[in-house]
Amino acid sequence: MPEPLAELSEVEKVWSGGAGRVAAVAGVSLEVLRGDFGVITGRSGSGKSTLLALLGGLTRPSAGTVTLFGHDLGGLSDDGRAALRATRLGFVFQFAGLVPTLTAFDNVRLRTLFGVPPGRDTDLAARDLLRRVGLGHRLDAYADELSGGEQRRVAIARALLGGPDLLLADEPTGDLDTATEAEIMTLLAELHRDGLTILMVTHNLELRQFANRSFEMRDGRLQELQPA
Amino acid sequence: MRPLTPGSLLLSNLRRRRFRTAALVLLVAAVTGGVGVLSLLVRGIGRGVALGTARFGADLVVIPRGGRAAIEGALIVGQPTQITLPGGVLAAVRKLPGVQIASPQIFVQSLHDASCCPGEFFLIGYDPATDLTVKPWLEEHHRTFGDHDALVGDRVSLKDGAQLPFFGTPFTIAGRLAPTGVGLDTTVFIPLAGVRDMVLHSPERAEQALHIKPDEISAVMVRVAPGTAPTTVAEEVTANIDNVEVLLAPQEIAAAVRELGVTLKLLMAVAAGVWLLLFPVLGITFAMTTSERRRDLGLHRALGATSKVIFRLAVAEAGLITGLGGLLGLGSGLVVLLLFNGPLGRALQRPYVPAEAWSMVGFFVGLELAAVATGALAAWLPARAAAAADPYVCLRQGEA
Repeated sequence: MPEPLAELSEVEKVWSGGAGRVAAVAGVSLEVLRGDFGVITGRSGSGKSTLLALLGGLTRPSAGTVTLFGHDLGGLSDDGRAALRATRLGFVFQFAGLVPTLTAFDNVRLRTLFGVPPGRDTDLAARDLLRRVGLGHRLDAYADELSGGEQRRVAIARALLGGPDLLLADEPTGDLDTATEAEIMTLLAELHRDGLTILMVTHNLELRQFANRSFEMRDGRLQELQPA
Repeated sequence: MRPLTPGSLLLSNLRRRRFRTAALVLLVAAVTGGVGVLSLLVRGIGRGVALGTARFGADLVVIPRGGRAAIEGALIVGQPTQITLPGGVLAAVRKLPGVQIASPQIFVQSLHDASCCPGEFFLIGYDPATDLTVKPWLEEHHRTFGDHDALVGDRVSLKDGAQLPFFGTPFTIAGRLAPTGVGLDTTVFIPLAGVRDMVLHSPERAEQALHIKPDEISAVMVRVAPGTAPTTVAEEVTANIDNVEVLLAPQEIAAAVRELGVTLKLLMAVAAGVWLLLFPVLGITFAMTTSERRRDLGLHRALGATSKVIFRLAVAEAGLITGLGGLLGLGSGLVVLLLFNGPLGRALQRPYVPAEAWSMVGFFVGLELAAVATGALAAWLPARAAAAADPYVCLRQGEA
């Protein structure tokens, strides 16, 4: 039995705002095992991004417990949660979130400011990761000189710096053209084959083909889909 | 390979908003530079007044009636003047109660790039036995002067030790007074005996003969007895001696600078007020910047930044902006003050003794630190709010 990396147990997340109280995640339990490539699909507003944020400790649950790498996030301080994100977790979002006035190389190295140890080895790793995502020739290009697909690949390289155990990807191919989407998914599939555990949310049902576990999120509730 | 540091990230953030950064830097530069320069001008005038009045020595000056404007010009900014007291005034002043010392001075003439000597200065004859300005200097320096030794003010361009013919009579530049910021700085003091000699021989030695009677004087410098109010002696003078008026010397000097001092202090207060206004202006600007960058901040949190790091980055960015502004403004101000101290002092037309260079630099370093602190404090609340925000909420709000 593979080791569980992340676990949600009866987790709820309620947002309060102008529309009143909205349960984005309602009583969800989930176990992400090492080696999984999980894909969560669902409509916009179904709560799938919130679920990912809960797993990554980016927001606190209203109820239930979130366990990440064996640590109950509710019992960890802000610094403790940040340390887990810095060293064992990689995030990719729909927006690349690159600093436009830094080069691709420095954008990947950005994690060295937040917990990944800086140094020659890390620099070499950053170069290797950019090569791995097909951007070895664009190391010194500024982020705003890169295409949308290239920016997304830099973001993936950045998420992988420091060798995380788990990659959480929130709509990593959103707003990309079909060809670029295929490039990104092929890259993620390669990374998974190399041993990276991935949990991805997307509204694109076709991307389930890359997963070994598929889930559907609807009105804050999660259902694992049986393999076809 | 160049390491990536928090400084690199801060600078790159500033480059992302060049116009806003430049506007803030220039605003802070104008305020800090203005406060710095005006403060030092006000301090320089204060020093000028203090030094001038201390060196002046006299508590009051007896002059011919109607000579106030002329002697103020002479005392404050060294403007040449020629006034003559009625005969017998010196003796009459000395007899008055409360007068400790009464010393005569004769305002000979001003010389402006004369054939004898370069520069512009004002020749004053003094009585070595009783003088209140020169005598303390001689005593302090353990010196005695001959009848043809001259003591010059700090801004007189004649060389020390030089022998120069004033109206054909040779005088040696035997000493130089410390700067006072007042008219003393452009004055050449020569003993009354030397003046008489110069007057006597001027018809045959000089291009222009001097017409000064042997007992003629321009002013009587008076020091009052200890415990006596200068105003009481001034009343005695005007009550007992005709056709004279009295200037209370230190008060006159101070009064002459008061108007300018008030103006400068007002300007300084305005600049300081603007500095205070920097807090809300910078605070609002940094709050806007932080709000615009919520998604970046959320992303940094997702990459592993702690809330403390987010707080420090936001505060440091603000401190960097105001620090750069301070460097620009204070650096420019310092250069202006160091290069143009002389012309500035003369342009003020008031006693002005600038602070020493090291003191200016120290003062400006203090202001620079204050500028950095201003930015950091202004960003404190927005930074705290950014650090405390839920990272996921930041990410979602940034998408909106």
